[in-house]
Parts: sequence; C-alpha cells; structure tokens
Amino acid sequence: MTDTIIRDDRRGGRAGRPRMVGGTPRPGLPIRGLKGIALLIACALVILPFLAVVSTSLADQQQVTEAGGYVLWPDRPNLDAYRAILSGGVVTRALLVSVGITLAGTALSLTCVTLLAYSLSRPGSYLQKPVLLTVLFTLFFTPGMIPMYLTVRQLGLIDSYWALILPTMVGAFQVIIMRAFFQEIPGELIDAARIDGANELQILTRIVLPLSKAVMAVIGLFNAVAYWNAFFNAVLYINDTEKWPLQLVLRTYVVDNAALGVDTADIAGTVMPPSQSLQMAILVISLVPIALVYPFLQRHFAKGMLIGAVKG
Amino acid sequence: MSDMRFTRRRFLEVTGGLAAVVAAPSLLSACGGDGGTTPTDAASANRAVRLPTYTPWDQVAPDLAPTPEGVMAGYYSYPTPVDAFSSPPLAGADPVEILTNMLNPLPPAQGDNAYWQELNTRVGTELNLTMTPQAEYPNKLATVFAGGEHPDIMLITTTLANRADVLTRLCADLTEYLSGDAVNEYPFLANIPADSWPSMVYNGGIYALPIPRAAVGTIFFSRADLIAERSLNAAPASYQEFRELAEGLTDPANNRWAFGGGDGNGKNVITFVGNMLGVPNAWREEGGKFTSENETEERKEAIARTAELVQAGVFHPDALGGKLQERELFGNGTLAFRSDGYAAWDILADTYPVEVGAVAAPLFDGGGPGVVRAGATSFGYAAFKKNDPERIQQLLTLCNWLAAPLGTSEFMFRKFGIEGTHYTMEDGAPVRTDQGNVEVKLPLEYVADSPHVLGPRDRARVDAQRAYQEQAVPNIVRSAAEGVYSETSINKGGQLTKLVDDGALEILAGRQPIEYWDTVVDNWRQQGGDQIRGELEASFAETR
Repeated sequence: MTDTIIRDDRRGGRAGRPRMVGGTPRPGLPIRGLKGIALLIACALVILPFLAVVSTSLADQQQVTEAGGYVLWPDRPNLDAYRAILSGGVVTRALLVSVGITLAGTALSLTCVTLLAYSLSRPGSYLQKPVLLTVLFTLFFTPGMIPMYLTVRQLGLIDSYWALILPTMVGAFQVIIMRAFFQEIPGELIDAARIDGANELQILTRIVLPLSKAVMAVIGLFNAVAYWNAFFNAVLYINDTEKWPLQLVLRTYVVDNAALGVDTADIAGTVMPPSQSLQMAILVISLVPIALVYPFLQRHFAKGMLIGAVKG
Repeated sequence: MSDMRFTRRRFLEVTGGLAAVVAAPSLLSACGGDGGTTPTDAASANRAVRLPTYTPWDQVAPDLAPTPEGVMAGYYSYPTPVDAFSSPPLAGADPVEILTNMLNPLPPAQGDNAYWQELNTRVGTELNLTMTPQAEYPNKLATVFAGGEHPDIMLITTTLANRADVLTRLCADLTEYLSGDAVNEYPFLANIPADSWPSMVYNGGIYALPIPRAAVGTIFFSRADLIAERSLNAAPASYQEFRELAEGLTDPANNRWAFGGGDGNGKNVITFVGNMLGVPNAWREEGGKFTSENETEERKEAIARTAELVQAGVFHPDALGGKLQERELFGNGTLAFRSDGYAAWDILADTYPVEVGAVAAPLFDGGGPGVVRAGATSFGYAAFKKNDPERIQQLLTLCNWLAAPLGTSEFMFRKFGIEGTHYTMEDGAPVRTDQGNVEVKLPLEYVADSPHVLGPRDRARVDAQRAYQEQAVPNIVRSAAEGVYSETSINKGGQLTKLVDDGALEILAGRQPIEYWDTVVDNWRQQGGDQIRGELEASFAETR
C-alpha cells in the first residue's frame, strides 16, 4: 500500500498532474494542516489520560492535593505507591497466580474452542446438530450466579484454580466465530488433503490451523484479556486468599480507598501514600502485562476483525 | 414439522425448568426447617425481648467519659493497657470459620503472616477468616447461603434481602446468652451501648451482635482555616447566614467553591438544609401514622432552597451529575465543605495540612439549633451458625475478646499487633512498622468491635470533636422506622432512594421546576413507598 502511494506520487509530480494519494487528489496545505491538528487533538485525547494515570501514580500527596486529584507531570516523582502495593509479597504472588491462570486458561480455551468449532464446521460430524444447539443454548440462557456456584461446588472445585478456568473455558460466541471462519475455508483444500491420505487431525493441524492464524489470535486475545481481568469468579469460588488473582487483590486497594473514612479511621494515624496515587499505580500494574502482549498480536487482531466483513 | 414442534416443546420445557431453578428463592430452599412466622407474630414477640444490659467497662477511665445519650468517650493519650484476659479464651476449641467483608488491602495469608499466627496463639485456636471486598460481599453471602455451608460467624450486611428470614431461620438465637443481665458473662459485649442492640432483635429473639457505631453519624465538615482567613462567621445561626458563609467562601476566579455534589446529586446539601427545616430522619411517626421525609413540605422546601444555592453559584461547576474527588478538593481548598462520616474528621485532618471544623445546622429562621440525623447504630449484624450451646458460648467468648476496648492489651494487639514487631511506641503513641502496615490488616473489626472513641489524639482535636458532639447529640433525631421491620424497605430501598435522588437532581440542575417533586413523590409512593409505610405502620401497631 505504502509503495503504491509513493509511486503514484512520484509519477504525478513528474507529469505535472495533480498529486494523487490513494487514488484521490492530494488536498491543499490548509486542509492538511487542519487534519494534522485534528489528529494531534485525537492523539492528545488518548495520551493525556494515560500520562495522567502514570504521573499521578508517581506523585506525592502534596501535589495530588494541589492538583485536586490528577497530576499531569510529577514534580517530585517517587515510587511510594508502588512500594506500598508491592510490599509484603501479596501482590507479587497474586501476579504469578494471574499469569498462570491466563496462560493455562488461554491455552485450554483455544484448544477446546478450536476442536469444538472445527468439528461443528465439518458437515456430517457426529451429533453435530444437538451439540451446536447446546452451545447456542448457553449463549442465550446464561446461568445465574447461584446455579453456577452450586455447580462449581458440587464438582469440588471450591478453592481450586480450576474454578477460575473451567466455568469460562468455552465461550459459545467464540465457537460460533471460529466455526464461521472454518466454514469459509474452501472445501477443495480439505478434499485434496483427504485424497492425500490425511486424517481429520492432520487436516486440522496441517491445513486448517495454518490458514486460521488471524482468528486464533483474536480468540486468544479475547480469552487472555478475559482471564486477566476476571475477579468475580475468584470472589465466589476462592476462599483461600493465597490463591486470589491479581485483579481481586488490587480491588481490595481500590475498594479500601473508596470507602475509607465512610467507616473507620485508622486510629494509629498511619500516613498512607495518597489514595489517588495508589489507585493509579494499581491501574498501571494491571495494565502493563496486557500492554506488553498487545503489540505482538495487534497485526492479527485488526486483520481478524475484518475477516468475513466483505464476502466476495 | 412434527419434529420441529417437538423441538420447540422440548425447548420450552427445558428453558422453563431452568428459569424456575434460577428464580427459586435459593435462600429459602437452603434454609430448611419451617421457622417462618408472619410479621405480626414477629412484632408482638419483639416486645417481649429484654435487651442486653449496658454496663460500661470501667477499669480504665477515658479522659472524657461517654454519655448515655451517645456522645463518644475521648482520649488525649493512650492509657497504659491492662490485661483483660489471663489465658487464651478459646484454648482447645475447634477452629472458628468466619466470613466477613474487608475495607483494607488484602493482608498476607496465615502462613506468611506473623500477626495472624500470634492472633491464633492468643485466642487459643485457629481463626479461619474468609475475607471478601465489601463491594462483592452481598454476592458472596448469597452464594454461601445457597451452598448451605455456613461458617461459624458471618457478617450480615444491612442491604441483604430477606434479612429477617436469614437471621431467624439460619442463625442461632442468642437471646438466652445475652438478654438482660446474662450479657454480663461477656463484659465487653455488655460494654456495647444500648443504642446498638434494638436492630439485632427479630422474631422475638436477639439474633446477632452489633458492630457499634456512634449516633452522631454524618458530619458537615468545613475548612475552618479558610473561614477564619476570610473573617467569616463559622457558626451560622440561620439559613441566611449559612448562605452568606457559602457565598463568602466562593471565589470562581480562584476556583474556590463552597460545595461539591456529594454523590453527584447534591443530597449532602439538601440534607443539611433539611436539618435546618426539621425534615424527619427517614420516617416520622405521629399517632401510629408514618410519614416519609420525602412527603414533607420541609423536604420540598429544602430542595427548593438548595436549588437556589446552585443558582447562586456556590456549587462546584462539576458538582452535579459527576463525581468529584471531593476529599482531595477539600484538602486543597477548592471545596470549603464536605459531608462525611464522623471517622473522616481524623482522616481529613491527618491527610491534609488544614484545619478541619464542623458546622451544625441552625434553625432555618434562626433562634436555635436544627436537627441532627442519627447515624446507623451498627455497621452490620454478626450472626452465628446454629449450633450446640457449648459452641455458641465459645463464639460469644471469642467476640467478647474481639470487643475488648482501648485500655486493654487485647485491644492494642488487635489494632496494632506485637509491640516491637508490628509497632513501636513513640511519644506514648503506637507507630506502625512496615511489617505492621502489611500484616495487621485482618478485618477483625467487622467480626466484633468495641465502641469507637475520640482520639487518642492531641487535646485540641479531641476537644473540638467532643464539643461538636456535645452540641449535636441532644438534637439528634432517630428514624421512627428504627426497630420496626419492613421487608419492602430492605428489598426495594436502594431502588426507591435512587428514584427520589434522581428526581431531586433534576430540580437542582434546573431541568425541572420544584413542582416536579410532587410527581417524584407520587412515583415513589406507587413504586413501593406506600407499601413500606403500610408495613411499618402494621409492625409499629403490633409493638405498641
């Protein structure tokens, strides 16, 4: 795409015709300037809040108070908020739990969703219709909190890490997306593989999956973000606080700071880092891992979302 | 075709069945037994209960003694602690399972927490606390009830639906252990003020322990330093003077405003102005007839006057509809007033280098003090699982230990941990160590606690707090609905409160005239207000 534009441009310049950008005439300077300003504002709208979050997490109480909550640039940056959160090893432990749950959960989810979607996408697979209906059923009739809890409890999963993975492992919506994707893979490819003697598993791993990287990335990211952000399952199913995931532990900081003083004062008068800084530090801690992974998947993500948008 | 019909019918059967399971009152199915009673039975039974006798613990005298009306005790310094127990109270008992909420960051688990381990040693058995962040606690409680595995001690929150059923069917009746002088067996439970006990009574029995809170409730805090700086009158004697004070503190050019919006609906100021006009605290009772605060002319007047204040420009421009960082804005002087719980006095004064004051509402036209709304007298209900008498007594002994007040070594350990490890004494006051900051965060105060006290802080602060309370407490009005039971109020109260708050906000924001309030109140009555009134009146008539 970029190549084409440059070539168009060059050719246009030589021939003295209006400069073309992507097939349309290139606008004049004022318009381009206005567009630039509009883009700058758009960028600022995205960057400034993020900057405020990071800055506030580093600011001290005095500055947070003077600014009335949010700081754009810390005058006396310090890591007190991070130190307060990370001391005692509770948060670091929860971080490990969350990473483990996210990795294991995403891998399991991807495996199960792929296998299920593939079998549902192939005509003539065993019990296809009832299974598909069952999957669709869960999409429209989600169980309530208490039936879910009772099921998890009956399965003996209370206080088990599995309780954080199994209940959300197979998402009906994801199965449907992936099934639709698999159905668009030309049947000829699969027929050809079968003529070559491949069995179903080989067809899936050698033909279908290599063609489905985009949708795998999308579903993988959906799952990873969902596992990473989940805290409510842990509230209900995990009593042992050692097994709490990061989001739930961080929540105790947010809830604490929101509610402090509505109820009891700390009678020792311990000076905590400013509550606002703590909350922003929590945001940063919970954002960083996802922010690190996202760029690597984003390429597939954008592509994946457009797949099927325009059907030829 | 026939296939399809079959499918559809099957489908309906299955979904219908599922819906029924979801809709079934899981609490009731989990309760078992048939201990249900009609409200009428319950109310007449409530009359007969003798509340625990209030016997203040007097081995350590506070600097300022509490009053029977509810003025809190005050301490200028930490008293030398005495040992209230000579041996671990639960030595040899089975471990105790406890379910409670938490408002602190999560402490390390038992294995990595020296404070928790020492706690177990001092109590004499293992305390297994299941902690849940406060916001998620109602859901946790609901699932635990549904699962039917109740812990020994559980915190029942005030918002839990079907509270009366839960307490009377699932929880132990504590009457024989606590009623009248029986409570003297547990001197620190007897030290809980009488005010906190009435709402623990259901169906003719005491079903829970209160987690006592002071009657003074919410305070209208002011920036005393800003008021002095501008030589304004810190103690307005009428609405007019209050308005002048607010206008004097507002300076838009310098981003100085009198009020924020509380929760974004201005209710903080409506309530305060209402206190000048004598708006009832939730419900008023006259000759057996209940009137809601919403229905009174005074409330309407309070909204109209507050709308006037909004018009006068003394509210922060983002006060209505949004949610400001009010604490910070109070701390940096952007806001001169803030309505907050009584415990916030110390938090505000400790966090910000400012002078915190409190304004008491005067009568609207002057000539005396206005009313003060009593706060909730208990944070929640600490209830026990039904069990044999020996176990119940053990649990009461544990709660007695947990309610040891300031002046005991048990209190110092509970709040600060082990001296030398979790805190050190500096200038007569405990200062937490890093380890203390991390480990001493178990939410024991939501299992059982001693009544709050003022201080220990420096004399000037404690005196100011005490002076406010001595002035405010005689003017306290309680809700007529206190100790009278309405199921609808518990189950629909939140929704109805939102309805009236949203309606008032429309008027404050200038989107509706004051006459709109009548429509709001009509809606409130139709959607449950009248039903609550009916239930309260019926319940009240029975208790007379």
